[in-house]
Amino acid sequence: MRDFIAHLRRVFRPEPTCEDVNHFLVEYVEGVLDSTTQARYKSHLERCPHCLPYFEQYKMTLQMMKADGPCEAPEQLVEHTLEFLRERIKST
Amino acid sequence: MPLPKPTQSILVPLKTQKSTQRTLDLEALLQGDPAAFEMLVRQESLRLFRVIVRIVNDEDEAESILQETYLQAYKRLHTFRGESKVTTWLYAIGINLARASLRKSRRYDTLSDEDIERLQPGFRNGTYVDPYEHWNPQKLAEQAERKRLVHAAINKLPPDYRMVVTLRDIEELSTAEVAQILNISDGAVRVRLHRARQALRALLDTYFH
Repeated sequence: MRDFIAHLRRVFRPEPTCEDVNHFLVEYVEGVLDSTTQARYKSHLERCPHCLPYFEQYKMTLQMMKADGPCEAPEQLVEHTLEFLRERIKST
Repeated sequence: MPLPKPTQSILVPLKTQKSTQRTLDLEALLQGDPAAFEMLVRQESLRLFRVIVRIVNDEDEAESILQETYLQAYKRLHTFRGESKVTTWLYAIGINLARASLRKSRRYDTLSDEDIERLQPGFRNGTYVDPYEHWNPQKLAEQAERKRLVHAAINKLPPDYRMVVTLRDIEELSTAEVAQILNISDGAVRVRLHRARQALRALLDTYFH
């Protein structure tokens, strides 16, 4: 229901609010909104003094997560796994 | 269906085999070809390990879950229906085992759902209640400290949120794949992802303000 109301607001409201834009930030970042909505949100995010720093932090959070990157795996991980499987499958 | 019969390649280490570079033969895999299964192990182990270790937060436990994941997958190959990628199916097995391990060990030193709710931004008349400022560039520039803080913040997320962030934002799987792995809708993935990202932003705001 909440999504449905947000969808109606997205389609019919001439100017999106910060809350409307926030509600669809994942879709906006993925670029899966229809082109008109994407353009309206982009314009809002670039001009709104409330959204501008918030969205900057949101994007920075994403970048830092990606940069946190993969943790190190044990050197012999694959060989240990294959060894385990060989033993267990042999004994089945 | 009987367990696929192992042949030479999975029983004998193949030190010269560069199977990670080849394309997985799905048909052979589903027929129980051990060489194809070995290729799956070689191709997916590192990434799957990274996902599991982020969930259980313990390397030894993650390695043991990884091994069990492949063993279960090998035994249950005949149940694979081809409705998703075989790797998606494999990840779903691994994540379910990781969840079970978490439940068993009760290693829950994470934020609660109420905490996550409190970390979401508030709105009044469609506008943010709190004012936000750009983060301090000097604090952001301290890379080693930044990495430690981000890592710690991710580990604070409840397991369901950590899973979605790990799969979507860190391992960069598609929303549809994450939805299949976690057995939830695309919409639920996006809602959970948004809440997780906003909670992380709020946690990091304390340090980078």
